[in-house]
Amino acid sequence: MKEKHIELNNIGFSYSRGNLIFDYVSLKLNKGESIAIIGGNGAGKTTLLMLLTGILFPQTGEISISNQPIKKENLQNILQQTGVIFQNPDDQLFMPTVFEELAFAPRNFKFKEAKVHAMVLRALARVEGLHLQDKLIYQLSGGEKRQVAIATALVMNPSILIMDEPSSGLDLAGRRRLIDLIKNFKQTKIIATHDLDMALEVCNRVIIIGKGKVIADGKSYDILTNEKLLKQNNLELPISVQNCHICGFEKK
Amino acid sequence: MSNFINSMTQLRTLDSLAKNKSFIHLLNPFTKLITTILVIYTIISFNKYEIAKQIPIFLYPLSIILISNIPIKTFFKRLLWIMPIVLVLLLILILDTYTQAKLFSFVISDILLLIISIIIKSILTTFAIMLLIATTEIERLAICFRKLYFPQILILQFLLTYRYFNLLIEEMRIVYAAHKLRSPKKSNIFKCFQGAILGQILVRSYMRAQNIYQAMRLRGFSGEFYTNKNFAFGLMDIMYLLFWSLFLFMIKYTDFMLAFVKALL
Repeated sequence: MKEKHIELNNIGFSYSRGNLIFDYVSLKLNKGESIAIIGGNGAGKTTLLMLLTGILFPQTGEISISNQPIKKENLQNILQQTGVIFQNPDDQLFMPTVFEELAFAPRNFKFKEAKVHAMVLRALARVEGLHLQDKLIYQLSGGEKRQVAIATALVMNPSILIMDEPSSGLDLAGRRRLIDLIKNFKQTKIIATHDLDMALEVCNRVIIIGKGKVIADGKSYDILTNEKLLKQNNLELPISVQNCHICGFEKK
Repeated sequence: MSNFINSMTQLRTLDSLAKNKSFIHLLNPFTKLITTILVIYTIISFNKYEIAKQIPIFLYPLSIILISNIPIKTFFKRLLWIMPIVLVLLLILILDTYTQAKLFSFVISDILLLIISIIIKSILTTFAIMLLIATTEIERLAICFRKLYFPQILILQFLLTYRYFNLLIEEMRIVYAAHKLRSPKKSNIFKCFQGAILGQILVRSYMRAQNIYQAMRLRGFSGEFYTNKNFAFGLMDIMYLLFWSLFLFMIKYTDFMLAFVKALL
């Protein structure tokens, strides 16, 4: 039986009255799963990630990670278990150098300096970015910034990785590297994305959200090949399963 | 506008310069901070008639620039920023009574003396502060202030404001580029749009600052900055501090340096 890792129980959330983002949503996410959260613009994907990380708190219901409810009192404890990758790496990187950037979290959690050094190097090695450690952040290219942003999420060796549009702004080679990288992570992965091809390749479970509810929840292939369902939610079939409208090639 | 943004962007140069590995850069930040405070104290302690005595202090920035391999051009550009403030100060002080005074062997008016004195003082103090920033990483300076029992909230404000400034520059560049692309023949922004654009820049930078703060919180930030910087005093630190203390003492309380400058002139 699969071990429960994250549980959302009757979550209700709105930014303002009458604008309900989540209307009593319940979900169970299991350990080691790769879950894609998809939906049209404004469906609440980023809000869901913010709720999972304790940036926002639900107005009703409860979210728990490893049977520990997310509350202000235990937020530091929860944060050690989660690594977050923002949509825009520029919003995530604020220290002057790559090394300082990566050392920020372990130092905040009061690890000894020798350990901090080892953690930074290990995280950089995982994203093949050891050569970047002394670089200034503003000297990095878009792809390198993404690499460093992923390393900052990995540095604490979290059990959950939360990613918001990780493939946005990357060139094809960068996107491929990212997919290969994500596939190798053993953690529970929650990816909010519009890149349905990446979702199909990386995730074993897909959840469609919209209108404050979970619209569909199931195996990636089942959901991402359901053209009608996707269209109803302002989405379309991943390119890898589409037939070619130009040459008439049909996928079997 | 673009010139303004360019010069603001050059602020980052100070960040890059602080990463150099010269003898000055490797000194304890406390040593550099104390020396800077001593230099500024000595400069402001001179009255307006002691212009000649202030001249030898220029040896301080010059020697630091040479030793730490900092391009002197970077500093002169920034000196221009403070000039409007200096001019306003001068306008206020110029109401002083008219008398005559002596500088070396020249008889000059009191007002002129005041102008020269304020310009020298502002140049020297700006140089001292810029050299401190260009040779010391901002985080090391912040820790230094923290160890001197400055309130944590003030240091945090200082650090975040410094970073926010960079963010503001980035947003200004983006908005200015967007404007320029749609009005290629105009180098300046129309007055009627300036308010709206300024508002837009502030809102954008505020939102980005909010995101950055969230990113910091997610990584365990609770109001204290931690860094692994070695703050041990070495022989070089003591020698450096002693040398400049002696130098400033001689300038302030003896005429040895003044005689030296006179001999050069």
